[in-house]
Amino acid sequence: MNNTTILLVEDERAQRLLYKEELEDEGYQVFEAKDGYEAINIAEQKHVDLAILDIFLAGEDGLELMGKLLNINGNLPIILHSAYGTWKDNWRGQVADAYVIKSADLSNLKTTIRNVMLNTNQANS
Amino acid sequence: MLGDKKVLLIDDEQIMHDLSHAYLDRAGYQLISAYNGKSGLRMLLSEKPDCVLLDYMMPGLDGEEVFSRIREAEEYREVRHTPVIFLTARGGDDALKKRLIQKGVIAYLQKPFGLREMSNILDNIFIVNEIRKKNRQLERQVRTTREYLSRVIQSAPVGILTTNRQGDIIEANLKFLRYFPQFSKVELKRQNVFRSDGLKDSFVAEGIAHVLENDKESRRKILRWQLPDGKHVILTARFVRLNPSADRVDVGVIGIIEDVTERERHSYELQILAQIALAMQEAMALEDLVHLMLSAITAGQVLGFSRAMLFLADESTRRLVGKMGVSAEKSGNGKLDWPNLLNEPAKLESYFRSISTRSSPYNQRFTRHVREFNFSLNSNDELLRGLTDRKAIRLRGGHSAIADKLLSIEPSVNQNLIAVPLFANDELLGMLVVDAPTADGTVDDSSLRLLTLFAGNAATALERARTYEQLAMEKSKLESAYKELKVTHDRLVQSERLAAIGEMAAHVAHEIRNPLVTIGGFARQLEKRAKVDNRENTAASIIADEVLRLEKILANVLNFSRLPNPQFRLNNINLLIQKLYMQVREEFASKRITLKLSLQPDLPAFHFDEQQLTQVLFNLLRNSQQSISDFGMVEIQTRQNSGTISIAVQDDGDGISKTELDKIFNPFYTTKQHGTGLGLAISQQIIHDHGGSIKVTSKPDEGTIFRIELPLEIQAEEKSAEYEAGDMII
Repeated sequence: MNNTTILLVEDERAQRLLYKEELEDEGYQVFEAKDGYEAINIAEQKHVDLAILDIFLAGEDGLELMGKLLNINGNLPIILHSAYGTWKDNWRGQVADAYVIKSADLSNLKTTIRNVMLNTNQANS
Repeated sequence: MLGDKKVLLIDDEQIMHDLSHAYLDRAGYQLISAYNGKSGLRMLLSEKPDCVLLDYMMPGLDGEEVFSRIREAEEYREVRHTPVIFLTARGGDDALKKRLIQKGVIAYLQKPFGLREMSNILDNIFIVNEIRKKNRQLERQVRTTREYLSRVIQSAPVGILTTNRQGDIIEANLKFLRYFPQFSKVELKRQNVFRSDGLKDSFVAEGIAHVLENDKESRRKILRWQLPDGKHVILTARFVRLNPSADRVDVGVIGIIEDVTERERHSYELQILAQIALAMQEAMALEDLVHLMLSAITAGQVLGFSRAMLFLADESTRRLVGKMGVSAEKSGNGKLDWPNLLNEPAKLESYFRSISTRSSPYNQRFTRHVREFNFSLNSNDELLRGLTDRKAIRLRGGHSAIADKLLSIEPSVNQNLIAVPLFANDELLGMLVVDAPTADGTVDDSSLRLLTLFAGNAATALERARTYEQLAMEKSKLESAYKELKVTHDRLVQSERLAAIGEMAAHVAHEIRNPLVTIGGFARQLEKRAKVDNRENTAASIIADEVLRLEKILANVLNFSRLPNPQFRLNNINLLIQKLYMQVREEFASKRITLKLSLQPDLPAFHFDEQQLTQVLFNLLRNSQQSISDFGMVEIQTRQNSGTISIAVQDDGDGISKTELDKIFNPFYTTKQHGTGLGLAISQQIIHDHGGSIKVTSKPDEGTIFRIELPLEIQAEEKSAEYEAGDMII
């Protein structure tokens, strides 16, 4: 299908599993990270096309992590994924390419991934 | 002892002189000699001897003649009492002896007598004479003392009576007779207080008996006594034992009776004035105070004026305005029994309390007359001039327009009015007008004095009541300010409570959302992966749907708890409503509900958050729609008022019961099966954030109207929600 690789940063195991399965069903290759440390390791070692970050990670702020990831790859598209709507209106949240509020219905997340990738590819070509 | 005594011997025989000299010189007497009556008398005057030895038989003036002259002639007055001893040879002449003794001759010696005999007689005579002299002195002293005492008693300003132990009157003065005028002074002295008709049952007999029986003084007693002319007086009587040392024989009683009518009256009047002043100090409301004041003036015999009127000065208009009138007879105050009330302070107090609530129909009419009175304080009226000089003025006709008007208030009553100014702190507060208590219209000085005293108290009380009224006004202002504050405070508390609830809800919602995502997500996977329809598939689908519903509720809760501040833009409310109308029209139509718009054309645009107001109106429309089961009408109206725009949403649905009505704006309160109970709470919050109000009226089975008022000018300050604590800048 496609070779798009996604870095999924989510500290809750069950959710991580849900997103991984769903996204793999969509044909993406998913790298899981349960925290910032794992996420940076992956970003440094692997080719990542897109990062999905939970904002409230155990022990680390997803926004802070976003800064570190952008340091490694300034062009990395990032989707913030949170149960909280709070950061949606915050300018720091707006640094991200998209902001998705968590829902059991993943269609919104999937659409957003497609749109972000589309935008990125258009910008690159 | 007798050595210095001078003895004059008058005798014509030389031998008597020689012998007497020889002997009396030795006995210590000084003897001087005269040889005939004439020279004897001369020497008596010049030498003033202590005793005279007088020969009876002498040539020229004989002894008896000399003696007579000493005792009777004016020129010998000074020496008249000099003791005289006759020397006589007529021993057996008893008639002569008797005559001489009767004339006052102290002794006689019969010639020839022994010289020792003469010396003894002289000694005795001198001793006796000394005693007599002392007695005479004592008698004089006693007499002057008696006279002095009598004068004191007679001129004493109190009635005095003395008796012996049997109760026989010894002395009584004229003042005492004043109380028992049926006796003359002489008659009274012969009376016994226990037997005399006029005295035996009186307080006098009682007091004296008390002292005699108990051997101690009686207590001072105050009693009322009626004089024969009918006048009542108040007396104090006190009876004291005379000669209180027990061994004296002459024991008796002295009674002192004093007329204290004036003193008691003054003290009684002052007592009542004090009581009235006290009551006036306690009367808080001006109306009560005035009534109390006027009733006190007309009550009883103390001030006892038959009518009293009060006029108050109005500071702002500079006018003297009638306030109230009270008449004694017509209000029953005239029968007031002051003495008994004074003895029972509790009764007096309750009387004063009752006074303020009593007003007879007569007095109400009288008061109406008084209130017609209204004069400028700036006029140059004689009466006003007198008042400002702080004088009490007797009103006469024809001198002052104000006085004439006052006299005409009720011409049928007597015309003897007195006006007294009420001054407090140099400010004329008003005027009291009273009329004379007596039928002939005279007012005595003591009544006037009391009235002036009373006016002083009254002015102070009035001033205080006025201050109190001002305070009461300030207080009510403060109270309403406080009420407003309390409402605001309650609202604040309410919104704070809402905020707290919101925060908690937000926290819980977020925490729930995470597991919901997992549950719902996997349920969806299960549903999706099942190849055929089976029960598991259906169950998974239900779980997924229910989770979605839960997520919606959470979204609502979060929406409420984090309601953003309105983004004020200049918008047109009619336009907003028309847009909304287009959105919901079909849905309403499908339920056979007519949606009607009554919008006032040309409404001015004003600042509001379009999105938020759309949400509010949408909530209201949805509520209306849900309250109508089938067929119905919902109407939206807009109207411009002064400074506000009002929007009304009215339906003819089920309506809301009174008990529910109080709660519908409470968060999480809902009557619907699938409601979150946040729609109206959010709407209310939004309207409040716009500085407006939302109100509801409803009747079950008739329908409901929501009315929103929004200000044309925004007053709510723009709060910035862009930065929050804990934000970090990347």
